[in-house]
Amino acid sequence: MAIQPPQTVKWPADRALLFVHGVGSSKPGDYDPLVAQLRDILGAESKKFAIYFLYYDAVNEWFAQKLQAQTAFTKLVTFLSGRMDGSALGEAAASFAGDVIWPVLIPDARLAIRAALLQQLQTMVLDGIAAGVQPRNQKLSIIAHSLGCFHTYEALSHAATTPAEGLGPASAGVVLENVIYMASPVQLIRSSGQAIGKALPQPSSIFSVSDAALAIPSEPGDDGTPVRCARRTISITGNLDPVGGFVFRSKLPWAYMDLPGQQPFIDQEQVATVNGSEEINLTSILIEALRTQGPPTIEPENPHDWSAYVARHATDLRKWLA
Amino acid sequence: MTRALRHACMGVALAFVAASSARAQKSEATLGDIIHRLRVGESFVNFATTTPVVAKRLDGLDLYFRNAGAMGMTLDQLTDAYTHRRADVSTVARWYRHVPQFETAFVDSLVALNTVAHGSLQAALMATLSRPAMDSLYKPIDDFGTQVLVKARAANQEKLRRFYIKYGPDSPRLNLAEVGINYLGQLFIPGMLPSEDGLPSPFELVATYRTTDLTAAKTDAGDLTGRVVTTGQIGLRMYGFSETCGKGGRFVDLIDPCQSSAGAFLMGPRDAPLSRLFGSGQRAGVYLARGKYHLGYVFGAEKRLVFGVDQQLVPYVF
Repeated sequence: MAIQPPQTVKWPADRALLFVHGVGSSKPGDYDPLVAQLRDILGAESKKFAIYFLYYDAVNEWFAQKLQAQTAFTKLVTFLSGRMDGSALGEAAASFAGDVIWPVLIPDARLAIRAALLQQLQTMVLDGIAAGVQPRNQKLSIIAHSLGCFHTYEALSHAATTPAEGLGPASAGVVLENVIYMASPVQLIRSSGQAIGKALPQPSSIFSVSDAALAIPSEPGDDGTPVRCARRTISITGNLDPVGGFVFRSKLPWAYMDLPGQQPFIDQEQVATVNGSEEINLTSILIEALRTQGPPTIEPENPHDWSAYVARHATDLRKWLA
Repeated sequence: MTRALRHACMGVALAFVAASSARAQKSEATLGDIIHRLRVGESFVNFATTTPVVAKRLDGLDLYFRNAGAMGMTLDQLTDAYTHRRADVSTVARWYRHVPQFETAFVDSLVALNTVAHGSLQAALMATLSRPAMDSLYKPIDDFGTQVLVKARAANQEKLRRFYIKYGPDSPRLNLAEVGINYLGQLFIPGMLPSEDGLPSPFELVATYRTTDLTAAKTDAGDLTGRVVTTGQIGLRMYGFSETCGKGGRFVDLIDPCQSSAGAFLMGPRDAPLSRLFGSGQRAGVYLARGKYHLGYVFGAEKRLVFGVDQQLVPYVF
């Protein structure tokens, strides 16, 4: 049976970090360079971390193979987008069909990944306990990118409302140190899901669509006050990243995730790098041209690149994960 | 002086706690142990004075569990209830004798007890006690949490195992029509959606067109010959999700398959491959499938018994 077991790691100290990737077809090891990049950023501190990486594309692949998602659901979403209004929302919903929308339309797909993410979180906490660190002393962090933000939001919301998962911030005392969302499509999925309306199967199992408003997942504490799932919730997106809710530096309120209480960061992105730098101005280009005696090297930038988000926030990450 | 006396008392109390921890390790801790530890912790930090509302809540929970006769329940029994696992017969008998409104109220009270344990009382104790002393005091509470995590993780693993059976590479592939009707089925047919607990539905709608089924029929000369025929199935597939399904020898699909289906079986007027199923001369009957093998029978003058294997000739089409 090809079910990938949750990753287990021996904790060197009292902290652990989980990466949750976004769309694509990643297999274990594909993101090793990103982990190495973060270790470089953290320097000696990185040795204190048990680092986990949730690779869930194998689960996505089950559904893609069985349902021929690329054809069937693209057709379905094209049909649905035709039923939406003719605004940018309809177009965006259609363009994200294969990657973002189909976990919305298939409850089993999102619930399977939610189960995979929850069992990984449970394993992290249990690994910490095995190392002699009880949940109240554990420093857990999650860094999620793109669709991984959606699955993280869903898993944490479920954990906060389901004490039986053993991960409740109030009932189990599992409060994460950081949840860092990078280029989160949670609001985009909410808007798309709500536009789909009654065509959305089992809306009750998708918190980002069915809840009255998006919020940092929380559970009522011993005096009734909500206890948030994380001490620090950070949302980072780029002003050229459509998945994070920006199109050509313009924020789209129906696509940008704005959780009350989150720490927001909007990165100033460039469409290209010139001579390897995002700083594009005439003076620097002329200086570099004179220095190299040649034309500038222009490389297009991927505004959704996870590694670029991490690089831009190297200093912040050192502070947050300290 | 008062402070020194208080620390001395705490030291003696923690020694008792450590001794009872050793006892609890020999025989599993109980709900009574958890409440006792919370009471000891409460006395360390004058909880009733500093946080009277929560302290009263703990009083109420203590009384509820005593009245329910649940103080002797072990962590294993408690975490079974907490994680909605099926409990053994003796546990159920005990619950029903002592805890009439077991299900919701009892589990909610356990959640409330854990919320009290991990709330302001824990924060006050962490500010007062060293980490080893805190870990010693909270041992049964922490063990409860650990057992919940172990059982919850097993439950998630079970969900993934079931999703794998229904959607993994060994599961029947759906054609485009089946993708559509199963999507619509989730919207309109009860039982097609995953359960509240997040387990996949065992049901799946079937609508296939097959061009490689086999039958036998007499020729005009009266000889019995094998023929490749076109058939259609409209039915319901049910997944078994047993631990052993699909594992074993060559004919495991017949003996212990992970899925079976049954429903209407259709044939066109002619015994031929790639022919139409509907229209004049259409034949209808029933089919039964076990794993990837199916047997169909059509009634009427041109009755046929048909055998086939679930394999898509043109992937995702038929």
